[in-house]
Amino acid sequence: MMVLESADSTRGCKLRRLPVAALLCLFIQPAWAADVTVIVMSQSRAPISDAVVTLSPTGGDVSSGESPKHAVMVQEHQQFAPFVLPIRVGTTVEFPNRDSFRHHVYSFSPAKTFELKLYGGGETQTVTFDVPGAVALGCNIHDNMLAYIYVVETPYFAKTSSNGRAVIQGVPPGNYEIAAWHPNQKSQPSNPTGNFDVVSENNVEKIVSIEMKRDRRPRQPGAFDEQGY
Amino acid sequence: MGSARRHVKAVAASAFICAVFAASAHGQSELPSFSATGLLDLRVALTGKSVSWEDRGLGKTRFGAATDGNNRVIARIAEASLIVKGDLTWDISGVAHVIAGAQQEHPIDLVEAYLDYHPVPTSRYGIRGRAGAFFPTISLENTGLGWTSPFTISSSAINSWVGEELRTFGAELTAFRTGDDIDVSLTGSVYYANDPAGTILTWRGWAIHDRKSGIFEKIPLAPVRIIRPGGILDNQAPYVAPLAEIDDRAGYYVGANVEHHDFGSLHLLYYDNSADDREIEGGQWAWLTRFLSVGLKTELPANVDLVAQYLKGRTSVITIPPPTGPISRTHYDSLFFLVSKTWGQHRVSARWEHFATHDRDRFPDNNSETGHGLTLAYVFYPVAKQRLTLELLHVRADRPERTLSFNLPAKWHDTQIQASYRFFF
Ligand SMILES: [Cu+2]
Repeated sequence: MMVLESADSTRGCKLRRLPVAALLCLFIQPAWAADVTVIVMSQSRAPISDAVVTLSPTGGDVSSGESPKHAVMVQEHQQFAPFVLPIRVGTTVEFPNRDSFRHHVYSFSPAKTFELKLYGGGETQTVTFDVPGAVALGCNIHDNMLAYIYVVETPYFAKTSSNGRAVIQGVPPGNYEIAAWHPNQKSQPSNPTGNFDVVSENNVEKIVSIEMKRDRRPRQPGAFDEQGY
Repeated sequence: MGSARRHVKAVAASAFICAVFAASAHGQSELPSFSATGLLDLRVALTGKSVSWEDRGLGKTRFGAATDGNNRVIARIAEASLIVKGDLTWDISGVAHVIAGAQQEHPIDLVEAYLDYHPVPTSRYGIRGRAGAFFPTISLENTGLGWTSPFTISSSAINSWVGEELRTFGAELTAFRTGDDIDVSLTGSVYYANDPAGTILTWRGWAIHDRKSGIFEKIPLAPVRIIRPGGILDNQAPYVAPLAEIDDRAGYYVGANVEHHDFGSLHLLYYDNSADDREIEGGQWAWLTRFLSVGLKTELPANVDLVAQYLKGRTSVITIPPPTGPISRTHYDSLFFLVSKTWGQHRVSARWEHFATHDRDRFPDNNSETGHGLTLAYVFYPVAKQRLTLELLHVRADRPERTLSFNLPAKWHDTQIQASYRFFF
């Protein structure tokens, strides 16, 4: 369950109270774009990192908007990096193996089922993700290796940093559905928490809370307390 | 009949030798590729006051007195293990664990040697398999490199016994389902060999130590009355070769593991070596050994790890129709709870255990025992891949055969203090 808690905070564009400035703003509307900051918190109000925040235009037109066509999921020190990689549908992800040894990357998630046999020393292969949804990655050689690619339709998305904040830049005016996703969220897939309007270039700040479950499976390679040294 | 045994062992040994030779000729990345890990354990021990079973006593600790009642200080290389892993294809690996030690019957021996089949999962459901010689999937305690425990030096009584008398010579297949919250797996195995398992549990009883027997090893037995010259079973050799094949009959085990990503793991195993307990070869009886093991691993509040295991079973030899019944039949059970907490480079663990055997035959030896063990351990990791462990082990037991065979008090207690420094590579 997710709750949209507040919609407030107007920053920037101090000229908006001036009628002339407002008129001018209307005139150049296509260039308007706001930065939307979303804070994701757990049920105990702890900031959640590695959550993916999406803004989907109401009406479902996600054809506009720019987003990168390439992304990278590195294998290094017997781990994936990043732990969560949000991408837009159609993005091609590179999988470079920067270890000297082999990795056997796979996923059986409905959004993408694939396997990559990666020899060490920089071998890179690519996968294009065409279906929205969560893709859990594993390595058939190293059980500790775990990561997620979250494929979204909207061009407006971002990932929270360690303080639980994500900034989605350049959101044009309109009505948006907001949603947050995390691999350890209780309800999968995540549901949108509500709608809000972007009416000017005023920056917006939103707080979303998601209910988390714990996951104790080890992710550190060779950690003495997990690998039994 | 020992032909199956000799054959399996020859295959295992040659597979290992091939792996070692190939290892030197290949890089890390191309297939086949080989890698080696291992450990060296330097040990100082203030021994218990009983003679260890390795010196043909009935002591419960690995390091014991030279003569009963006098403890001593021992310093030695307690374990030198080399584990070679060869990835033959993307789906098949070979693993060989070689152990070297002066206390062993053969200075160099194999602990495990098997092929591991692990196809990449293409759905939530998958399989994996092993074939060769390996430990059954039974321990949530011995998860460390080379079947060591990350918590203590000495394994629990249950897993000490697994380390000395159990090894699968055969094939194991596991089917699993990966869930969002719970992973479930079912395991089945068919194996040969392992017929004498149960010998040491009957005539020595449980022990608490870290000595893994080699595949080719013979473990000395204390000369209890029944196997002395003139005893009912004096055709038993003065040692047990636990991994021998005697009756050319297959045994099996079935197991299940449920792992909740948050709460932890629950493990079940039912083991039956299906031995024909009237067969003997080379001084080794086939013991009909069956048990059920239940294991639990979870985390308590304050980040305290909990590992618990309960094992209950029976073993018998020479089942003659009533009224005589089996010449030797023993029921056994053991239970341990281990709690552990880690702070950075430090870990503190405590394990309490109960162990018992019950003599259930009509013959006048008495293989019953009851006992308890308490193990306290402190682990420190000064730098990566080095580990210092200090351990105190206190055991109390009551075994009437000690008096009947050796004129020692049936009830006794023993304390062993060890310091271990391990280098991992
Ligand atoms: Cu890997």
